[in-house]
Amino acid sequence: MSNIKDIENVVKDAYSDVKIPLTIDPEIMKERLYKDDDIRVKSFRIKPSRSRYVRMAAVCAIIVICVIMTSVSFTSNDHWNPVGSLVKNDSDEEKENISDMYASSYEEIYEVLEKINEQRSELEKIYENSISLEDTAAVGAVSSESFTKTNVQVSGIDEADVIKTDGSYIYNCLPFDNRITIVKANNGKMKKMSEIVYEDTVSDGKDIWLNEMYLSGNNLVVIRNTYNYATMDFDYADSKLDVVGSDKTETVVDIYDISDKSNPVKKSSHKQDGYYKSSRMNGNYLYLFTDYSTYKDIPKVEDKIMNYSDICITGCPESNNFLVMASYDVTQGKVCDEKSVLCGDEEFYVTENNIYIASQELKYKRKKYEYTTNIIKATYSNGEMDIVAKKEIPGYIDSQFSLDEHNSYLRLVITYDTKKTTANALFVLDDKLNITGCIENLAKDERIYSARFYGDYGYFVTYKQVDPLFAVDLSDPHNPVIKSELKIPGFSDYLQRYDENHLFGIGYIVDDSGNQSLKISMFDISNPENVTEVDNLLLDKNCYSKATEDHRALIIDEERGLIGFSSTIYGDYSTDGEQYYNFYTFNNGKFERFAKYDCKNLSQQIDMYFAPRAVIIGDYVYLTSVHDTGKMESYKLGKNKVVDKVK
Amino acid sequence: MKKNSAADELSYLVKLSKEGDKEAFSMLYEYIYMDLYRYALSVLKNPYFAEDAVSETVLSAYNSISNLRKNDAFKSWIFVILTNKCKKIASTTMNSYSGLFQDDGYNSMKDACDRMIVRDAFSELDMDSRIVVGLSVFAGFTSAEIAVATGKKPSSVRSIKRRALSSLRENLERSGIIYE
Repeated sequence: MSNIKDIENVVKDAYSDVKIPLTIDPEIMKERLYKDDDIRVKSFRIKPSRSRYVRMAAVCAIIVICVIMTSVSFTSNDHWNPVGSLVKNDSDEEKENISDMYASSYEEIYEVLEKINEQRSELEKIYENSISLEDTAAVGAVSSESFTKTNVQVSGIDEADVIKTDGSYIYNCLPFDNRITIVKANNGKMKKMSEIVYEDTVSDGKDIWLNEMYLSGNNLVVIRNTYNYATMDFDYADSKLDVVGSDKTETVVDIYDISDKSNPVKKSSHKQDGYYKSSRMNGNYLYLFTDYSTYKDIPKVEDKIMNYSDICITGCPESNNFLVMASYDVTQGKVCDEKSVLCGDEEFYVTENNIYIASQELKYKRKKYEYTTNIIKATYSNGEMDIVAKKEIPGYIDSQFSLDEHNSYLRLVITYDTKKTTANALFVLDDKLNITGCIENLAKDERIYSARFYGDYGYFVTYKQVDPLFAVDLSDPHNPVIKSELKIPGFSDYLQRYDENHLFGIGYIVDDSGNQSLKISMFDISNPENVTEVDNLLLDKNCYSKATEDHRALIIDEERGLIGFSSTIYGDYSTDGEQYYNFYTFNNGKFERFAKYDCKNLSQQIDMYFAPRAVIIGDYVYLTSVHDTGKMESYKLGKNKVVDKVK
Repeated sequence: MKKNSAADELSYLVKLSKEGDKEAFSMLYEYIYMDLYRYALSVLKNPYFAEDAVSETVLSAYNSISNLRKNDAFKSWIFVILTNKCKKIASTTMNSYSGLFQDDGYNSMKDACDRMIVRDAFSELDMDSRIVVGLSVFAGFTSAEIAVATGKKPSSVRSIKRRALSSLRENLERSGIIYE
């Protein structure tokens, strides 16, 4: 991490001697301020602007409507807790008319963008103290047959990753080296079959950045960003600058035929505007989500401007960021459908039939800036997508694992601002995103660090100093009930089921001097009324794991009962730091260390983000340094001696 | 009134500026104009655009400083305005291009070249990365503050920053500006 500071200092220094133009020199600026009659400080009485009054009035009205409605319609349901009710319940008139969500012309889109841009530039984005959010997502590996697959949230819906295996070959994506390697596992005696190298075409005004990939039958689907930037040429003859190109970011999908592992062949290439945000694969279809931030441009898919009737402009009122959703048939190599919605920063939860987008924005409410989340639902099938509903909920969610769909109800946990502090809530929404049940005011002063839902039960962790693990009974969508609350020191950043009766958590414990140590916990969830922590282990001090931030970096191999994750201990001035890949099992109520592999040779740099990844195939475990060198080591499960190395 | 720290003095200047004191506002500007311009230049790459961005920002800020609720948030607030101005300028100009930097007064030719190489490397990053890294370097924003200023999640900010700085480091190692 100290390297990052060094680079920042280099950048700062590089601009330290630029010549400041005369027109903005302080002396000149002062003259302009004094001279210009148009510039005057508007009197305090005129501010705040009228639009803000209107908005404040609207907020008050909604709260009043809320309270009246809840007391009128729901007095029969004691568990509703109408006090300080957060969200308005839709009456027939207030219900969003779904067909109005799409634009009816390009002009309508431009109008909306214009309004949003005005609001944003009205200098209202004043923030108070920093709000810290963390990403929590742990990935567990779900194994079937005899090799570990990507640890996905929803079984059957694949997520992209930098390491993939089909049980015989291991595919590594190395973003820092612009290449992909295909290695045969071969029972530990690894053999590199081929490489796909992306030329560094920086000189052409293009910069390519690999993201992650999918394995789909004999297709390798690679997702990358291309940054186009303007280059210039000084034309000496005419004494002018020729500018070529412009700043633009596109996300590109390259589909390779890998029937011959020693010779991958590119079948097709597709692109859409914007940064790569996320994706999923269901069957042969890739659903690609990108963020296109713009002042006034309509996003393009495959170089064609999107149709206005595919663009939803009532998703999120405050954002001028287009979420571009396009689907591609991977076997046929063509785009199927495209939709877009104006959005804030999104998390994606995709099930067999639905795509849920949780878009977070800052809104001015109750005299300060608060996060709100818009849940946008799109149905999909065989590549066709349709945006069908949306719901605004105060607060922000922790990660994609904060949402879960069960029997067509959507459950979610959220952290929101109260007048003085934060609190947490659980909502149950029906298939039209109407709220059917909710529990508010949970764990005041804390926020949600992890959540996981399994069938009728949901579990989530809030944290300030102590980690309450809540267990909720969700069997009745109109009446969710907290069953138990377990308070333990530290917190879990990610929760995943280990087996039917046990929930595994990985997170940290922070001591009084602020040192963080990696902590793994096993919770007994066989009795929801009484969830207990059966065992926990503190790993080294100042120890971090990628698995607490990226769910795909965790392996939970239910078949072999193995839990795998990397651990990184940062060095300081006197030491180098250490990096390991660990395996644990859980027997007789206790964690047992199964293996600990020293990964110093695998990483160019000791950093949590460069920690190695692992897959298990048969009796062997294969470690890859996916972020830089692509070096690999293989071990026989349970043994510490290296069997083979690659590169 | 005796003010002890620089922060107190800034808050006081903000208070005066809200009451219409142009001298006070000019002093505020003097505190930050260099960082403002450097940030705008790093994001827009072109000195003329950067100049416009800062100019517009100062006038906007002056016109609406009475909106600023917390006096000690002045620096953050004006950088957010500047970021929005930069985005507007970037999108309304047909092409943005690397500007011609006017170099003078260096200690050595090598210094000048090295700095230009770093600035060129920086300008090869995409706009979001330039904004995120720029706010960190020139405005001293934390990830959480950058998140609020750009509307992104702090985790996204951290990813963008990490990737951008890694990419820069590689670039600069290749050019021999820094060593592993």
